[in-house]
Amino acid sequence: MLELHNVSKSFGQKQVLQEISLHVADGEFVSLIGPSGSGKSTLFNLIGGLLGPDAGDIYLNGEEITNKRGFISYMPQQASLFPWKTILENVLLGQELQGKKDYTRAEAMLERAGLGGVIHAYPHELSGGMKQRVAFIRALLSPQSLMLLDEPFSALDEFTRTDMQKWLLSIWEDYEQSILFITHSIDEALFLSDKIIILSVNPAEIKDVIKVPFKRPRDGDLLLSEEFLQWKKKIIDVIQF
Amino acid sequence: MKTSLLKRIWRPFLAILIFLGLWEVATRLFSIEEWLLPAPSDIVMEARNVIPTFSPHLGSTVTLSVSGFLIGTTVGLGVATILHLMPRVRETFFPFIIISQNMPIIVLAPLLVIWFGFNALPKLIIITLACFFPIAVSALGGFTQTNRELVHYMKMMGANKAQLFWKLELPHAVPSIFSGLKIAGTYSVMAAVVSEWLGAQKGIGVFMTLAASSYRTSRVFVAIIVAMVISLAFYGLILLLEKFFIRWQQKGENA
Repeated sequence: MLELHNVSKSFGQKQVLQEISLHVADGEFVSLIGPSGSGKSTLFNLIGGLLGPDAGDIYLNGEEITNKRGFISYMPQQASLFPWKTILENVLLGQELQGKKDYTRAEAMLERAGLGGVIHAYPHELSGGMKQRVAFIRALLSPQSLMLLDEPFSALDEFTRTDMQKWLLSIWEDYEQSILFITHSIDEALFLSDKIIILSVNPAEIKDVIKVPFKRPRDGDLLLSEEFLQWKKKIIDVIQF
Repeated sequence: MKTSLLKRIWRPFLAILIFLGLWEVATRLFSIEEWLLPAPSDIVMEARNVIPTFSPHLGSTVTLSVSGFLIGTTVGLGVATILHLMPRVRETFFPFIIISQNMPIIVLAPLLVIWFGFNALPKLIIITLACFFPIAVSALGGFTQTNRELVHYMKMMGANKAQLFWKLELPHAVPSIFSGLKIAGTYSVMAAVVSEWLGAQKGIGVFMTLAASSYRTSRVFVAIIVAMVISLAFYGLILLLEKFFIRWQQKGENA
């Protein structure tokens, strides 16, 4: 599905990414974790085609998409909903940019996601957590097969965040789109993903790739299990080493 | 709703009544000549006599200011769009726009009369110029202040330049454009009246100069009040349009 081959990028003298190679399979949920400033957002801008790499290629479904835009769907850190559009019109934005709008499907999906009551509301009427839900549905409804999620829950409080993670899994497990997810929370990465890619800083290199063994569907109890804590310790060891 | 409106307006309303009362009393008490300062009652009497014959003047001024306003708005939005989409052109011409915005447009009037005569054209040019600058500047400000996160989202989703403008930057600038429209609306009436001073067949400006040169001061006051009413009506209309267009906006917050 998505493949990066030896992608490097520097800004001036400063090298940000060094020979990053990674792979996201069909329907796979992959997390990228690493400290702040490890170039995760730069990596997203490269995959999104906003920036060109200094070296290396990016492929999606066998097609080269280096320097090309419009091939991925995106959910930013801030919900970034359009304040003058209703929730329904907002979630259709990705489709609007690519061509046809499917109102029936959008309504059904909002209903399914527990947002049926706010279909015709405006974004300012919603809480932070609700806005992020809308932003996720918007990304899911966009026609592209790969979703990039850039720390989507980092601005939420702890309680809302755990709720959101469970909610996201419950929706995503029905649709099984491929997701590449940036986070700096180890718990979040372990709870959500099939695979975790650990990045180092200055420049960012791939330190390790960890396959997460937990079965799906996952529920909140997993977060407190012995196994979960052992995996967490393992990841912390990799990061600190 | 109605009672709260009443509650809000009774104080200013009372203040106006007291002011008019004092004015009336003062003119009588100090027996001020009517050509110098007519009493409110004189003005009302004069208005009653004049208003029936007033409609051609009114029509002419309203037509002039509305057409000037519409042309100015179109040109202003057009120029703002071009400058926004072409950064080089913008870098070249934006300083001139700022400088000319600070120039009193009305001083160009005699020159325009020399060039184009006493017909409608020089008047329209003055009104257009007066409306153009506030609209161009506010629209341009609105375009450039587009929320960066929204722009980044649109780019990541593969939006092209046209989509970015029509779907994001233009709607994002609507509140800002409306603050320009409100200024331009008031300017247009003022510019229309002043341009009529220069010479015209009819119009509130003409009516005013005629009345002033024959020292019929109460008529001048009638003309002033009519111009104020037109200006306020214009403002109110734009305010209504604004309410309709940005009904999505939360009061006191911008996102």
